Amino acid sequence: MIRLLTYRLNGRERTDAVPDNVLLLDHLRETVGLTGTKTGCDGGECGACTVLVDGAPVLSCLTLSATVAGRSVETVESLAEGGRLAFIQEGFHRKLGSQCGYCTPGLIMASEALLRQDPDPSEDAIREALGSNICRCTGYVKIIEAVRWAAESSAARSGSPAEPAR
Amino acid sequence: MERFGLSQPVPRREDPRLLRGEGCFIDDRTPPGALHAVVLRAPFAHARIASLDAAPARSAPGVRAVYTGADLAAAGVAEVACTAAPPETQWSGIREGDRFRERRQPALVADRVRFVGECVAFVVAETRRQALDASERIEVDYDPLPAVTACDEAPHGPPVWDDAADNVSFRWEIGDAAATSSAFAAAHRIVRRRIVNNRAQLCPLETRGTIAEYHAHTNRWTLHVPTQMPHGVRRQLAQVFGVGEERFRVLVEDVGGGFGGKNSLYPEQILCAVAARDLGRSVKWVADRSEAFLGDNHGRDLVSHAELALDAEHRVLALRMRNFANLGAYTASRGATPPTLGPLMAANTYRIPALHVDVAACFTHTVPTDPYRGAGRPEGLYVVERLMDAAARETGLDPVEFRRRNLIPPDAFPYRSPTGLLYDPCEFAQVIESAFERADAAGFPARRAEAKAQGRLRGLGIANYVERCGGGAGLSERSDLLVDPDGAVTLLIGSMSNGQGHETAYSQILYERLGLPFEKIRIVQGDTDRVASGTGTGGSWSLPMGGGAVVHAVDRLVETAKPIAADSLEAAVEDVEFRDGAFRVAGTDLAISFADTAARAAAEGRVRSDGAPGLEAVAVFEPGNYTFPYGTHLCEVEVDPETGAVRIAAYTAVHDFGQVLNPLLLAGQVHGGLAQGLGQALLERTAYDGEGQLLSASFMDYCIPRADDLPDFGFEPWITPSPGNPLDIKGCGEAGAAGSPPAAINAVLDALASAGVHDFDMPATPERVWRALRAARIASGD
Amino acid sequence: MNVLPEWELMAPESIDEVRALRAHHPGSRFLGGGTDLVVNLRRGIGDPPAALIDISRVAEMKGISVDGERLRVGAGVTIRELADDPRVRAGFPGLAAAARSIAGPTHRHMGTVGGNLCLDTRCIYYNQSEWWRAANRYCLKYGGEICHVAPKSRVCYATFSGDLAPALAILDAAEVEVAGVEGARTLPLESLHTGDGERYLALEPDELVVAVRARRPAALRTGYDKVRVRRSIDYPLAGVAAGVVREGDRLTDLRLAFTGTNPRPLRLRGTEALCGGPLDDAGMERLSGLVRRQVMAMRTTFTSGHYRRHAAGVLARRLVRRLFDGV
Repeated sequence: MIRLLTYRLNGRERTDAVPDNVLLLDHLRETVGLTGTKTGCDGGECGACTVLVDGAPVLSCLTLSATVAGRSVETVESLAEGGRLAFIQEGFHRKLGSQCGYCTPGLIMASEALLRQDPDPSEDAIREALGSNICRCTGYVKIIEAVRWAAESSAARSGSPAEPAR
Repeated sequence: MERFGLSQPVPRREDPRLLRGEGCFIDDRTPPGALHAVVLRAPFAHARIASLDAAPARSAPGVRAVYTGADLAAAGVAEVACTAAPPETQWSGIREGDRFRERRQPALVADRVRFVGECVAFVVAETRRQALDASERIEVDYDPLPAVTACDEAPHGPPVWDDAADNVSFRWEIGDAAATSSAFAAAHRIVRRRIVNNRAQLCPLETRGTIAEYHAHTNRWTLHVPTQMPHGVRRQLAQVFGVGEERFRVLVEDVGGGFGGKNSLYPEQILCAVAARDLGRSVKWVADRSEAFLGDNHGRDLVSHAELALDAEHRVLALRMRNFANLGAYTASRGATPPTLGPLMAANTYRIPALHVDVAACFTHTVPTDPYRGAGRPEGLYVVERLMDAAARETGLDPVEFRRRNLIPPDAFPYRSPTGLLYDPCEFAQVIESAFERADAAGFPARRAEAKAQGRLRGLGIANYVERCGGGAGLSERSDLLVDPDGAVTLLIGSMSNGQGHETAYSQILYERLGLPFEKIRIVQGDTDRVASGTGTGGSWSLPMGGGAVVHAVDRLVETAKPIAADSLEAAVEDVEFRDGAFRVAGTDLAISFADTAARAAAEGRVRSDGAPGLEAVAVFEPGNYTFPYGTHLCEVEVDPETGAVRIAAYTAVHDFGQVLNPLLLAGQVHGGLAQGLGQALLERTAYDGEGQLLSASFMDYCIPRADDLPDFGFEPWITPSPGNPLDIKGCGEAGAAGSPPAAINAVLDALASAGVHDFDMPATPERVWRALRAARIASGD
Repeated sequence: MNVLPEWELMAPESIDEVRALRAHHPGSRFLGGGTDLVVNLRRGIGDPPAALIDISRVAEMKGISVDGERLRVGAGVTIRELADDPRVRAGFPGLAAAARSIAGPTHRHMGTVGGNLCLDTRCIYYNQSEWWRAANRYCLKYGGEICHVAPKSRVCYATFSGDLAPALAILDAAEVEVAGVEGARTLPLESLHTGDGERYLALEPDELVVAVRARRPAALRTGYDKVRVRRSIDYPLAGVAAGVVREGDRLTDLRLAFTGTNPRPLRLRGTEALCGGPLDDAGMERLSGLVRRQVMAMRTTFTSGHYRRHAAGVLARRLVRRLFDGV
């Protein structure tokens, strides 16, 4: 069953013809062509597919595309604005939160979701917030530093144009 | 000028695209018109294929080809040869009377399955769904046979190969058996342990995949493969297809983690190439996660019966090991490396007068093993450090003091180990001190007492380590620098980043040595057509070797450009020096920038070997000796004795990696290695059932660490020069994975010692710890 | 592109609409957050449904109401909403703790209360890819005839691992409101789970849990704890919910329920015998005995049943002690 799916993607309203049995992850990567969101496992175990739906982090590999009708979806491609990295991306950049880069989009989106909820998270809160994600390269310490950097920098310059795109 | 140079924490050039989700990993693109492939895998660990009927699949909708083992044999596709045989040196070799039984892995098995997940058929169709549907129509009749998966059971288990009934591929030894025997005969005390290094699954987040294209008009293949060793894979493809290497172009873009598991040529890559040639279209295959668990080469898996001979003053007289290494069902491309490289470092940081290691590398009905971060060195190190702790406890001496008494003393360097290595000077004792101070080891007894008061057992574990990295005599790495008329430089080099940040590291070298801003530097890895040769990335090779090659190439480039600059400055070549990005006449203000020199060279008609105007330089770096990074790890754990749960309270590592090229990249490598080593030590268990079925085939069952399983890592570099290396760097990729398992398990044993537990095997999951405590209680009659 | 069966997805906004859709599509299944169902559908576990009814927009299934000691939670409420609700944290701390401990944070944004109450039972022979299960001749729970954990058994021993059920089971009058094609009914929570790993819910195929209700006795102190291999994401090796009433120095009410061990959440019987006096060593011994005799875990995970039962006992004792001491 194919239906017309109207939703907001990275700030823009969109309508696509989508079969009911297509995962949001596959729709984003293969139909829309946004390959930043990754497949890392066979379902729900690694967080590499994390995107935001109505601001909340979700695993796009367990989300059927049709269920985002009328909702807003954000992928990693939405964060940088006008060539400028968002705070969370800049944090990952300065602190080496990324090595091979494969888990990175999912981790960035999970971190972004955290910061929107809790702009000044403790180290423990960050570790907990990343509990649905796996990274095999970094050992997480630099990722936590990255999120802390983003939290502090964003607070120091709140209201600046470098705020993450909504 | 200094901000982007050596020893600066320069953020990575790779980041902007990766952080924006603009990386190009193998599954991120599908060439238009590509066919999709699916592999049918064997469901048994050991079975005869009684019959196979692929006809129903061939006639299924959308199917363009179905391959079986018979098809490949008919097409003359050979099996994958081992590229690293067990080494023969003055100190080591295959045991007398024995030989290396190589068993090469075919891309598709034809008659007898030897591990669960082995490739049986390859289905190529217009869509993946069609390929999957078709694969389900293939009828295979298997006669299951008994299987063995544990390496020390292999010699008495069902043969994997009929002509190797004892399941031994080779028996190899290193050291001096006679001297070792004498030392043991004269020992005051002998300490013995059976030490197991558990089998590991590497689990890079990006699974393997391939896109193969065949260009009929040039009779060449292009293979897009996320591999760590593009030239190695090209060589292997040439061997398998029986053609020259120039027939293949291996192209690598972003690689989502490797750790050794993406070194070698895999069956699916061969199959994509076959299908692409036959069908004249691109063929794409990507593994899903459960296929990755089944088909990726595994790592580690060693059982060591180890003994230490001591004199009455707690000094080690000799070390002896009898190792059983699990090769899996086949001798993988580099499967012989870990079992023979580990014992090379067996003496570790200690002066051990005599040593003998006897290795039986065994076949079992499991997926082949290949190098995993450390390639055998972590396995060897684990045995020694566990044994040192055991010896300390049995003799009643503090484990650190015991080690101190046995360290290679400063005046012994350069030190010839009993395995033939020549160690550079190492400051072992100082590094131990530094680690102790950083970890506040002095405060540990108080922390232990406090934990005890709250019903928890706290332990502190140490591991010293030294490893051999980079390349030694006979090994080399090459680098090519191509300079454009505007002074922009392209570096062609045969390492292959899979997360290490080479683009940034090499750029820093060029910035520092040529004074070039990053925008004028392009790094090319991962294209065997453009990069002449390379060893790939593994073994902490890329920066010591690749970096060395870059430095030499820069020196060559400067020598090549100097006469042009001298000419322009109207000075004699001898009077010209290159400094701060420009050629200068010594003692004057006269100077010409590197860029202007390059422009002049082009204007004068200088042409590179690729036909473009400009300058170039090629250099091959041949180090005289390997590098020897070393360090000390201290792990502090707390055990809940009632549940067996282990928490890492603190972790400290002090390492000498030589000069630090980029502290961010360095810390990243160390942390990543620590996470993998601690995962292996505390959480990860590869489990087979009695019939050889892999039970741990998902991220829920194979527990790699998550963010709240690991502590903050306290890592500090200790800097001494590396004599053999132009950049004074030693290589850092593997240290974390090597030092953390013994440090962690020694810590767990330290915590459990008061409860009567004196031996323990990884992983220290809650249940296993709890069982060990329980067994100790029962044994003591509580 | 992942290959999934072709189904029709519907997104009703009321219970009546749900009923009508379900009546029209027999064999359809209910979709909440997808963190359980979609995983299994992707692995080919369970007969492919011809239709999926997405309940995430059903208004009557949303909402948490707390009226003194009475709690009602819509089955469509997400785990995160439940865990973060200040009234739940204040009045039903054990339930909030259980919710907070489920899976990982992203999963909690997606998963629903109903989904966790109806969480499919689990076993290493069941929760595998289609290929793996075919290679292992399937199992009694789905597609095969033999329970690989207990080959002589006619009954499936797959384990129930939802964390919310035990936290609710220790409260009074815990019941679930159920809507089916024919009408609605309420059943006690303890009747929801059958104890059979295969047909693990006492619901007709067309029935949907719409809400869960419970009442906390005024003085009941509640808590929840669990043991798992890693600190997040893993299902519990054993999870314990406890409720304690203390009057002066005496334990006057004790309730315990477990998950991660048996094929259904287990409310421990016989805890009244421990009440009436102080919480002493003898009482703890008796508690351990009850756990040992009633908590049964088969080898459905890598971790042995023996350990899980032991861990359940340890957690139970500690939790009860902590609640009694008011720490």
